[in-house]
Amino acid sequence: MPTRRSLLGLAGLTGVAGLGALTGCSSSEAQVDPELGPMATPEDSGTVTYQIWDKAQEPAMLEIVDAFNQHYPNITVSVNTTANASFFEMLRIQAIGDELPDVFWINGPNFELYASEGMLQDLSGLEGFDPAHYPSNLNELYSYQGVPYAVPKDFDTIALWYNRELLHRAGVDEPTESWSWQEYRDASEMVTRALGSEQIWGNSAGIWPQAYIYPLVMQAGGQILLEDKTKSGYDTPEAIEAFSFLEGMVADGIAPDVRYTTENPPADLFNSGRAALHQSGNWEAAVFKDSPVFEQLGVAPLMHGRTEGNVIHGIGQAMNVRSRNKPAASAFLAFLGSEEANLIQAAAGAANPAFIGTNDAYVESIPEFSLDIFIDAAETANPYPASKNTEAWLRLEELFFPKIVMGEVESGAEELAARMNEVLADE
Amino acid sequence: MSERAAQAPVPDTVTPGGQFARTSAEVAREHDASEPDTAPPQRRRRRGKDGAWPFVFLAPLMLGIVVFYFWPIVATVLNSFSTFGPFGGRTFAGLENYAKLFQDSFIPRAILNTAIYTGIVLLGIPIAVGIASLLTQKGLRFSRFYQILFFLPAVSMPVAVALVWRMIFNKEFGIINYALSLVGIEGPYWVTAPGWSLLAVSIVGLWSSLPLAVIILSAGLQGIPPELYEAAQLDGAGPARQFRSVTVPLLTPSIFFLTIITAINGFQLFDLLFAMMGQANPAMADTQSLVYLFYAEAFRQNDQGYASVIALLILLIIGLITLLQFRMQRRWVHYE
Repeated sequence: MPTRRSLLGLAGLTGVAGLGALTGCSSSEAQVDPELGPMATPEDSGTVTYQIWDKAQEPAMLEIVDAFNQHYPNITVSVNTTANASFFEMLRIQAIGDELPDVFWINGPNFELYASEGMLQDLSGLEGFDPAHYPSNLNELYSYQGVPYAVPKDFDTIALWYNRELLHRAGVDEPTESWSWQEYRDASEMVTRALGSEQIWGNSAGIWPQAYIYPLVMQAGGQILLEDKTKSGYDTPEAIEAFSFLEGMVADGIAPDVRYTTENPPADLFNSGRAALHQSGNWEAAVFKDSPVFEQLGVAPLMHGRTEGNVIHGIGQAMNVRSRNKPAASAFLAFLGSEEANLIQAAAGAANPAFIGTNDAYVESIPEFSLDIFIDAAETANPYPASKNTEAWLRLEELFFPKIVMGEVESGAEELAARMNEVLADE
Repeated sequence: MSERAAQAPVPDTVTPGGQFARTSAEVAREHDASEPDTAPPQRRRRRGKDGAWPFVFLAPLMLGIVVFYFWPIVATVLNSFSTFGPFGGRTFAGLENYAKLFQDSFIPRAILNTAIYTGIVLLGIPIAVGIASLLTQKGLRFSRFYQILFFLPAVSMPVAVALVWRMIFNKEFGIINYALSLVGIEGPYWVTAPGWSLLAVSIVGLWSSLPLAVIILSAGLQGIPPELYEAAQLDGAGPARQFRSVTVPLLTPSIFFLTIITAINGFQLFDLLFAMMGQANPAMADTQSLVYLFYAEAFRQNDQGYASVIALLILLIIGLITLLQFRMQRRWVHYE
């Protein structure tokens, strides 16, 4: 039997034992040379570390490294693929310990944090890197204060996936062009009323920010971040209109509520033929091509509200500003951004390449889906909304979107905006 | 003997500080004492004169405790007065993080949720008393098999357990709601509706806490002298009376130990909640526990200073509750 004292000790200690890891070990302020410097010549030798998070894309990345070595035979590139879920936790620890890889992937929510804290190399002087080769909204996503800090790798936009079989059974014509909100709602209602007894829904609903909420707010004419990212846009009349649109469909029984979609995720509902409409990105194509109802699926342009509103996001490829191998890393990063490298990843079907004009191979990889719709959408899409500490307000969205869509539209949106404003003020 | 005595001053003289310097007589006596044939009374007489040696031998252990237990607490206190940069570097924040604690509307709800969870899980102890006394009944067949059965939850991975329970609790396809539908009841959204979700998590928490309780109580039951039951029998006590007047009072030390451990574990609710609820759960805002808030602030909001304040709050609550329990034990715990 433990003694009283040891128990008390145990009580206290277990409460905070895990906290030791949080003690900030401040990084040594080593001299950083922010200059990019000259690029390696084809004869030079060197080593570059390249860190990515997607195991599925690893073969294509290794192919790109092989092609790079045709040009630079003496530079060794080691590709390090880490677990997707812990990539940014690991990257942060690497950054604190001054052990960032030479070249690495980065995404929209994390980009500004690394760029503004001086972790990324200014790429405006990178030989062979011309932003004009990429969609301008992607360049905007990967620029901080007008300076490019990452080379766009690929991109995704949002469109309306549909199941023509379910639509036909409910007497709805499949969408051929962009629907209005009302058309979307009417189609959803007809399917749910006709097939609801079979547990089939008109649309797959959910609260996925990037695929569902952000585009709707933008279609209503609103924005997620206002006034140079210092204010939340969620308490504006436009955002409320978008929330009310979703809330109305749930309240009227047209769309499943959040409790249902938390237990049965929207993509699963659509993938298994239990939802007729599903608003999502081109990343779903790789999943839906193996769907049991694959032949019934198609894709149409995203619906529109008062205006068009789509969201573009893609992976960026950045260089560590403290890299000890900048000449070799420059050569490799420039090659990653080249037409040749983009064609390789398109042909591998790995991702929709960012280099304008290299998308055909990707579009042809699944001819049954009109993937060119996603490419066309890139022209007018808005950059993925991100600020310095995006992760902080993503958590708030997770907490409040459910409440909002389940009925507390105005109070929920107000509280979300207020809390988000606090987080933005702290950035 | 003489050789060792001659060497003896060496370790003493190299001891830093010199506070351990002793007369040669003392040293000689000490070495006498270390002889295996020394009588116990002499040994007792010299206790306290061993100088630094006990501490030297304790040092490896103490070092571990200081580095891995006390330093984290001190660091947490220091962190709670700091604001951190995303890539290290801290600035003094004064009481800012503490002020935030009192403004955070999530905190009272999280304290309530954690307390409710702990309360429900504590109900497992009386259940475990019942199970343990059934399991230790004399002449029970397959008792070993039942013990293994009751111990299974303890050796299962908590996250796997949580995911299986999540399926069991599914509104449309879960076995619980199916069973309810057979008797004409429409089951709720167990893990995604506020209120129900905390109950669902608590039920699983209770279920996972049973094995340890049953093991400890079984051991406690086997430690009760059989002659007490015989005496009770002679006094005319039936099984129920024996249970109430012999078994339960003599189990109270074990029960007390379990309430302490269970309450502490209850207030540390995190992994079960995290794995069962998943992300973007509509019930999460109403179900968050204190440790979940700590996790969210430390690793999602990246506010390590404020997270440290929450950790200290958890420490304080657990400390107070444990202290209270020790105060209360005099009223109901019987040691023999």
